Amino acid sequence: MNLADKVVIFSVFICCSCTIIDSNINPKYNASIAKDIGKKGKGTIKIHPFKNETSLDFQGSKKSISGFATSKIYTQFPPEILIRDALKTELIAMGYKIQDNQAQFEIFAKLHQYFVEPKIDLLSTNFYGVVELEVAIIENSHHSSQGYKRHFFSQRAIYTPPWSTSLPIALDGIYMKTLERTTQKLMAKVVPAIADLLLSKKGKK
Amino acid sequence: MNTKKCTQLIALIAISILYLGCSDFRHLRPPQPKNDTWEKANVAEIRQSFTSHNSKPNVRKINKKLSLLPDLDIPLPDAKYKTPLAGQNIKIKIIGGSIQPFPELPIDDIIPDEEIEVESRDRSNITAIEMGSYFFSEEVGDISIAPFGAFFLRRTMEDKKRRLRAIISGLYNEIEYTDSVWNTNGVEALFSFQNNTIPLSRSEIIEGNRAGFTDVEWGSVFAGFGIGWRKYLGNRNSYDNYVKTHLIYEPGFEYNKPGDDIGDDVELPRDTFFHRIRWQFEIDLFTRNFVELLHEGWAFGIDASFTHRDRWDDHAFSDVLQFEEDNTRDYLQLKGYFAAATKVPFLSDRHHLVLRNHVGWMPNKNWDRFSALRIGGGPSQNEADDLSRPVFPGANFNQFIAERYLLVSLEYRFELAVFSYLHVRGTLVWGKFGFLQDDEFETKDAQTAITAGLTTGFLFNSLIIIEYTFDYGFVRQDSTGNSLLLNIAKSF
Repeated sequence: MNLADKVVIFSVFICCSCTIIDSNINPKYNASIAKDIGKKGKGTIKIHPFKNETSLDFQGSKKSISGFATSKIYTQFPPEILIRDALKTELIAMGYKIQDNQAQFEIFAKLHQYFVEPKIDLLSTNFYGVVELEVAIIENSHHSSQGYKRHFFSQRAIYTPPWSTSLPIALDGIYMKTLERTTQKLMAKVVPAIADLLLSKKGKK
Repeated sequence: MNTKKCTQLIALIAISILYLGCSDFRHLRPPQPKNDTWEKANVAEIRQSFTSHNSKPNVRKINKKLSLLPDLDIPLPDAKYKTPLAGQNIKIKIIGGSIQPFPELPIDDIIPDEEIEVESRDRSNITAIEMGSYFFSEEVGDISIAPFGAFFLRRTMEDKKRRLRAIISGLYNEIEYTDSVWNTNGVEALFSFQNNTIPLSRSEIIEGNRAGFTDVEWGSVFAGFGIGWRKYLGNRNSYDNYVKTHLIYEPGFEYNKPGDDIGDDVELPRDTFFHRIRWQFEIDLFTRNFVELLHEGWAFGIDASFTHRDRWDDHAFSDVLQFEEDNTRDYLQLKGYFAAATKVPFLSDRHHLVLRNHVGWMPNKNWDRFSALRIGGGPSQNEADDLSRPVFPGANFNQFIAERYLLVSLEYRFELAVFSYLHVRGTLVWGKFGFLQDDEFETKDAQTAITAGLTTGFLFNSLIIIEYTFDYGFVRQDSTGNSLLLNIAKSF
C-alpha cells in the first residue's frame, strides 16, 4: 500500500467520522436583557403565538470537513416557541403582566429565519447562526387601536479549528451555542426596541 | 498508466475536490429590507398576516450566491507579542470585528472580542497516551505503515526531590525514578528499568530493502542503580530546567534467536548477562511554549557507557560481515547532543528557529548488530528527557546501525495561534552506516531530508502532530521517498 492509498483511506476515515446522524438540540435562553437595560414597564401584554415563516423544517445543517451537508439539526421545541418564550421572559422581567384577555398591548411576530450552519475555510470553520424576526405590536385603547411593526436581524459566529465539523461529539454543542448566542443577540435588539415603544405609548396616555 | 494508478488518481482528485472545494451557505439568507424604526401598520393587516397559518412553508428562492468572506479586523503580528509558555494560565483572545456574510447586511453588526481562559497546568504531574504512525511511500524495508503508541507517566513529589518518569507500552518500557529527599545538597539516588522484549523477529534494512537473512528476534532487559546530582535552574519551567549528572550501574540480560527467514550461514552469539557502567551529564535551559515545543534557550548532554558481556561468541551475518568476540564482547558508546532555540531576529515572538545536533561514536570494530548505535525516525524531540534521542525524520524507527553519526537539523517555526505551529525543518545526516557494506551493498554516508509539519492543540486536551518528510535518498538509499507522520497525544 503506497501513500496514495493511505491518503485515500485516511481521508475516507475523516469523512466517515463526520456526523451523519440528525441531532436534536435544546438551546436555552439564559440572558437577561431587561435587567441589563434597566427599564421598568407596567401594563398588560398579550403575546400571540409566533408564526413560523422559516423556509425549512429543520434548524441547522451539519457539514463534513469537505463542506457537504451531511445531516440536519432540529431543536427539541419549535423555534418560534423558543423565541416567544425568550421574549416573554424578558417582558415579565421588565414588569409587564402577560394576560390573554383585554391586554393593553398585543405582540405578534413572524420568525423568518432561525438557522445555524458552518462555513468551512482552509484555516477555520465558522459556525454562523442567523435569527430574523418581524415583530408587530398593537396598542389597544378605548377609542382605537394602532399597529406598529419592525424587522430584527441577528447573526453570530463561533470560530473553531477547521476539523471541528468532523467531530460528532463536539458538534451538537457548537451548534447549540451558536443558536443560543444568536438568540441572545436578537433579544438585545428586540427587547430595548419594544421597551422604548411601549414606554413611549404609555407616556402619551 | 495502469488501472491501479488510474483508480488512485481518480480517488485523489475526488478527495481533493472534497477537501478543497469551497463550501457555501446553503440555507442562510440575507435579511429582509431592514427598517430600524417602528413603522405604523394597519391593525387588521397585522391580525391577518401575523396569525393566519400557511400549511406550506414559505420557501424562498436564493437568486445568487452570497458573498460570505468575513471581514475580520485581524491585526498584524505585534512585535511585542509574547508566546505563552508551557503550563501558563493564559487567556486566548478571539478577535471579533465586523463580519459581513451578506453584501446586503450593514456592517453595524459587530461581533465582540471574546476571551477563553486556559487554566495553568501542572507540568510536573502528567499522565498521557501517545499514539501514531509513520506512512511510507515507497516502502521502507517492505514496511509501509509503522504504528507506535505508549503511555507516558510523569510524577514529582516532595518539592521535585522525587521524580518518576515512565514510558509504558508493554513490550517496550522505560522507567526511571530518582530520589534526593534524604539530603539537601541535590544528591540523588537513581533506580531505572528498561526492557525491549518485542516477541517478533526483525530484519535490518539494507539499501531500503528488508534483508531477510538478518531475521533475528532479539531483546534485552536491564535495571539501573545509580547516584547523581541535580540542581534546578531558574523559576519558570523549573521542572525541566536543571543540570544533572548520574553514574549508573546497569546489570541486564540480552538474548537472540533466529527468525524464520534467517540465512543459512548466519551464526548468532549466545544469550548473556551484561554489566554496564554509564555516566550521564545534562543541562537544560529551555523554555517551552504552550504546546511544549522548544521555545528559547539551549540544552546539552553527554552519555558515555561501557558494557561488559559475561559471555560472547564470534558471530556472523554473512561471509563479509563477521564479528569477533575479542572485538565486540566489551564495547564503549559515546553519545551527545546540543540543542538551541531562539526567536528570529527583527521579527515577533511568533517566529522561531530551533537547532538540534546529535553525535554518536563507537570505536572501530567495537560494535556488533546488537550493541551498535541506532538512529531512526520519530517525532521531534522536545521533552527534557527525550532530547538525547537522535532522529532522522522520515526513517523507520531505529532503522540505521551506526558506527558513528552526526545529525544536524535546523527548524523554522511559525506560530499560527497559541495552540498551532507550522514548521519547516532541514536535516543533514553524516556518518558511517555500513552494517553490510561490500562490493555488492553500499550505504550512503551523508544525505538530507526536508520536513514540513503542523503541531496543534486539539479538542479534549490533545495534541496532534502531522509531518511530511521528503527524503533525498538516505532512507531508501537508491531513491527519494515520502513519509507522513501522524501523531496524537492526549493528557488526562
